[in-house]
Amino acid sequence: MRKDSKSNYFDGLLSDSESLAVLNRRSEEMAKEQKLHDDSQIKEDFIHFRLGQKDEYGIPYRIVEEVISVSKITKVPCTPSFIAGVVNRRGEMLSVLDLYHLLGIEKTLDKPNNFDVVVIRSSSSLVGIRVDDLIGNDEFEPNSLTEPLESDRQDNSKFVLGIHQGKITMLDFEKLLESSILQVNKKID
Amino acid sequence: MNMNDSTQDQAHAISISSSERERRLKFVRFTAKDAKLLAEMLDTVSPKANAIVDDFYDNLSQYPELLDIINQAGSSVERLKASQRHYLLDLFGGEYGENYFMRRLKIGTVHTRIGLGPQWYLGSYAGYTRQIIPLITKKYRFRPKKMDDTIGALNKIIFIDAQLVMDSYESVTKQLDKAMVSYTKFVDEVTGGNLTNKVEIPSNPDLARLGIRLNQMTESLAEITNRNEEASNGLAVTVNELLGVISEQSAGANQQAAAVNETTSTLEEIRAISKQTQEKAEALGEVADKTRADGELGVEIVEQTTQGMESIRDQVQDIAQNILALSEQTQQIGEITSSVNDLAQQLKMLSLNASIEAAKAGEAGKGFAVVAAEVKDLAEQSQQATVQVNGILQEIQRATDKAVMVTEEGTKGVDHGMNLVEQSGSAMKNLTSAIREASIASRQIVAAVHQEATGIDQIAMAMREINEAARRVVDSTQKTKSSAETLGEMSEEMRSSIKTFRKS
Repeated sequence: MRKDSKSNYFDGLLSDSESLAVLNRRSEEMAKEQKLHDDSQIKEDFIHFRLGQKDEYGIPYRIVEEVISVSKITKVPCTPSFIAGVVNRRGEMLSVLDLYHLLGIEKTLDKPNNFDVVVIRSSSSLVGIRVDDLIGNDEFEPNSLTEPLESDRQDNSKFVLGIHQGKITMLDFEKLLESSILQVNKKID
Repeated sequence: MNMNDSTQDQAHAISISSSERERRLKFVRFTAKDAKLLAEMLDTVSPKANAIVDDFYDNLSQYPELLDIINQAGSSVERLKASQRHYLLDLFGGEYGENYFMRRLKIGTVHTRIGLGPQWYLGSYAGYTRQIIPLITKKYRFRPKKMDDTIGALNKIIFIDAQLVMDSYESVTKQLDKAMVSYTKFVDEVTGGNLTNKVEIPSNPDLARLGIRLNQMTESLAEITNRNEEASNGLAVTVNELLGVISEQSAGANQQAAAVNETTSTLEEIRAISKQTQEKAEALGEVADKTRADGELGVEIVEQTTQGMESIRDQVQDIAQNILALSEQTQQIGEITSSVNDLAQQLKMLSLNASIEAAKAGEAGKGFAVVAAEVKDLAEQSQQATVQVNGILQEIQRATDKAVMVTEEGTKGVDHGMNLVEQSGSAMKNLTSAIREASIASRQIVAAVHQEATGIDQIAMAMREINEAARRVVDSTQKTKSSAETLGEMSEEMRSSIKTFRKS
């Protein structure tokens, strides 16, 4: 693999993602303002899953494309630790993220036969998130979410919408995907 | 005549002194003239000597008893004729001194010794005078005076001879009397028991022979007496020893009788003991027979137990195999359950996607969202059901595993039990064979004790016979003792009778 081509590839991917994130954020912000104005008690569906041993998370339905189960995640060399790899999704390659490092979660050691992946629709592109257990779906009230505790592990509250019913952390994927953390501009010597 | 030394000594013993000789010659008036006259006749008599002697012996031969005497004296007529001729001519020797007297005494002594009496001796002079006087008368037929003188001289010398012969006969008779007295005394002493003396040996050879014989006889008698004494002493000692031996024998026989009595009573005890032994052995035999029957029954039971244990083992193994099959089937159920779980998982995933799609559809998808939620509930219920089934299956698995382990333990236990049963069976067999041997041994003991009882009876009989024999020995010992005592008395008598002899 040549250095020049690889740098170009990541540069293109990141620039594309960045623009997508900006677009998504804008659209969501507009939607939220509308919803907040409409009804403060509106309910929203979310995918309920588990990461690590016990931490439960939720992702709202509006950015979820689908959930899939894959037998294998193909690792990609020279990628950061939050890239789990790529999977074959109905003939198309889908990048899968590992959120352990980003969220400061202890990684589970056991390797299951099937990996559940939540496919997120971000801007114009799709990205997968590997989860340890798909618990199901539920509804939440965005206005009823409680603020996450600042002292909760590392400072990742910027990716969190709030805490649903005191135990389910609702993730703010627009922020996450826009975050500079995910931007890889590293060159391989 | 035969003249030995003893005869000469005897002649000297009765020798006549020269004075006596002179007196005797004077008494018959024998003078030198007579001696001369006789000497002058020698030449005339000498040629006729043989004829005179032959005539003498012709006369003598008519008396056989005389010849017997001559023969017994160890002489013969021929030798006597020579001596007689010498004797005849000696009459005319002209020398009539001491030597002549000695020769004539010797002749007398010889005649006395051979037992030729004086009657024969003196009578023989008749024969001489009958032959010689005619020779004188013929020679001096013309000289009558000288003829008478010569005949007178002849008569004188013949009477001198007759005196000397009578002297010798008398001397012998005296010797005989003396010896007789001495011998009689000696014999009297011997008869009185004195064997120490010896008779004095006289000069007379015949008497001396007799004395020597007497002495020898006395010595022999003393020797015999000594021997008898020794023998009687020895006999006394032997009799004493015999009495001692008989006493010991008697004591031994008594001891033997006592020992036999003890032995007999001991035998009675042994017989009683052997009878008890027999009874005990018979009882032991009965017990052993019964025990043997029980033992054989026990062996049968052990064999049946072994068979039962084997069937139990087979059954336990069947159970184990069934449980293993059940376990496999349970695993298959588990697999099926796993598939069901996967399906439920997929169904849940589908229901989630359905709900997502319903959300995407917005208001139009609300009804579908309800269906999706229902499907999701079903999927979750299915999952819970499979979880329950899995739990049950795991319990079943644990139970079957435990059951398999238990059956294995059971199989091992049955094996161990079978081993124990086999051990007990072999122990029972050993015990049964031991009991059989004990039974046989008890029978042998009974038989042996029977034989022993028979033997004891025989021994008792033998002891009675020994007892009888011992009593007989005691009786005969008593008899022997009295005989030995009698013998002792006899030997004592013998010793006292021998004591009357004085031997030294």
